[in-house]
Amino acid sequence: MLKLLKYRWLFFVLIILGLFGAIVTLGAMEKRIEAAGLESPTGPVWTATNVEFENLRLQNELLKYALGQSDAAAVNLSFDLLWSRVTQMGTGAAAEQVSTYDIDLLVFDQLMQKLREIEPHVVSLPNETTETEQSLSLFVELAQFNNSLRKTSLRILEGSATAIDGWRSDLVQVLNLNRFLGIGVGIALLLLFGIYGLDSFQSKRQSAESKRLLEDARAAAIAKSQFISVMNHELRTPLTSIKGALALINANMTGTVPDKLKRMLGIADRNAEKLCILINDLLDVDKLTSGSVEYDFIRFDLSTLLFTDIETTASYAEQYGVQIIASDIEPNVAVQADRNRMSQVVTNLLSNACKFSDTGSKVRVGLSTSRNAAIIAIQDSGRGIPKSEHARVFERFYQVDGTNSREKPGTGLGLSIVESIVEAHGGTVSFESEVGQGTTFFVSLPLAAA
Amino acid sequence: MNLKQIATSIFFMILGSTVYAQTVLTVAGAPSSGEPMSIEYSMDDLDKLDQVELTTTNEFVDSETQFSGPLVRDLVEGFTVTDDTTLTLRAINNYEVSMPIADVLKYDVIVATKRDGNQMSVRENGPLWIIYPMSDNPELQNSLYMSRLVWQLVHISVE
Repeated sequence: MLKLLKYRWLFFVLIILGLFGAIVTLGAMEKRIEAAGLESPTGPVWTATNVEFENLRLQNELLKYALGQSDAAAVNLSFDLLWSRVTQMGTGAAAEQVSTYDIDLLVFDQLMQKLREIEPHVVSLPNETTETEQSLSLFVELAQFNNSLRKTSLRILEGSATAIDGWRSDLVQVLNLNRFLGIGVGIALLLLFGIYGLDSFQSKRQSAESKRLLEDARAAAIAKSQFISVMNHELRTPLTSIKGALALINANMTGTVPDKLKRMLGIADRNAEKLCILINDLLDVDKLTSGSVEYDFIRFDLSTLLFTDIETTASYAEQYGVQIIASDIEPNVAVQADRNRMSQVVTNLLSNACKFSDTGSKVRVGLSTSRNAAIIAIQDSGRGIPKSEHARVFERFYQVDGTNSREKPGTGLGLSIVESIVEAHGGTVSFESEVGQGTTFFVSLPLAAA
Repeated sequence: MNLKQIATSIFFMILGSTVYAQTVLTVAGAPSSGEPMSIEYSMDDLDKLDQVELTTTNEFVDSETQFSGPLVRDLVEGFTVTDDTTLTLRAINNYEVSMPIADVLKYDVIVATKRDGNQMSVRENGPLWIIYPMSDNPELQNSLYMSRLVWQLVHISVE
């Protein structure tokens, strides 16, 4: 059934071609029938019969003349009438039609020749000395044509009948074609309705399907937002309490904490902090990807932002024994951006760089401008990212080399967040990396209009 | 030119002039209607009537031909004519055809006295030939109207 739907245009093309063919054939038929319609009561049969009839009448007139029952004028008139009929046989529509019958028409020419031959005798009838003899000889001459005229007349009649027969069979063909056209149109309509029905059935099913999918998607979205709010309230709130409690204990507010316990409390505190970061990251990713983050675009100097962020990340870097160096930072680079989010991007990249750098190494931060863009470069000298992993770096929850995740803490969400923010600013994030040589991340942001 | 031919041509000249003066067409009312009116026309009389020129084709000529003569409408003018009136046209050999009066009221049907400006002999289907304006009215180009093109016309009766 689906295949039928797919190839329906073929059906229509075939049906249309068929109908077109039938119409063309009908057109051709019409011409033939029109031609056949010329066969009229005044056609060649009638004309030929006229010749025969007037010939007999002239013979009759000549006989009457011989018997003294007619005069020369009557004979002349009859002669003229026969003359006009023979002439007519070779003129107009009759001549045209009879030529299509393939008949020997010699007899008319011979008769005309005879008329010309005897014309002087007819015209001079009253003056002829032996009138009776003369008219009788003329009679004999004309009577010679009787048989052949009859034969020719009959052949013309036959030809005409054949033509009419052809006309009749053409009519039958037209009827058949008409029937075919009717059936063709009927089938086409039936097919059209069938396909229309199938189509509407199909589209109903499809719309029901898409409706269901839409509902599923809505349900999923609702579930997701519910999950997020659960994360927010049911995880973060108690976590804050835990962290608060731990801070209080660590501050000896509940009495002096023995050193042994202090170490355990430190572990608890750090892990609570990690959880906190994870939850914040997750909430951030959700907000960024759903586009519900509102950016507060202001014009500011990107270089000062870099210096501030380097400073605030410095203590974090110390944990890994890494030093952040501001190298080649171009001053006064104005951008139109959300300051806090930009700061999030920079600290994210800096902390990543520190995390994956070897102890004692340096992370370099640079800022330059090209035609319309400010380019931040953050370069570490860590282990680098293998080529095979390049494509997945910005994927969520992805961390290069699964073993790293244990070694180096992180959610695997950072770069995904960075990418979302930068793209929302109309910028791009990219990186260059080689295993063993370190990695450089580039953030390109459009410069603020002067 | 020998003597015989000269005699023949003189004969025709005499014959021609007599034809000109003698009756060539009779238009008669119906005896039943108590209208025993009958008008006889010589060739001269017909020529004196308003002449209409038609260039037309029909089944009996090979191509477009020019005919001229008085309108049949004018010839039957003096007669009582209703919608049912039929004209019966008779030829020299007694061939008869009926023509509804509507034909002559609607179309300029003429009694042609000339073909291409020349009078027509009996041998040329003359001297009088009913001609319809067929080229200008294609609906007339069928056998029904062709059969009404009476040649060698001698008599019209209005019934």
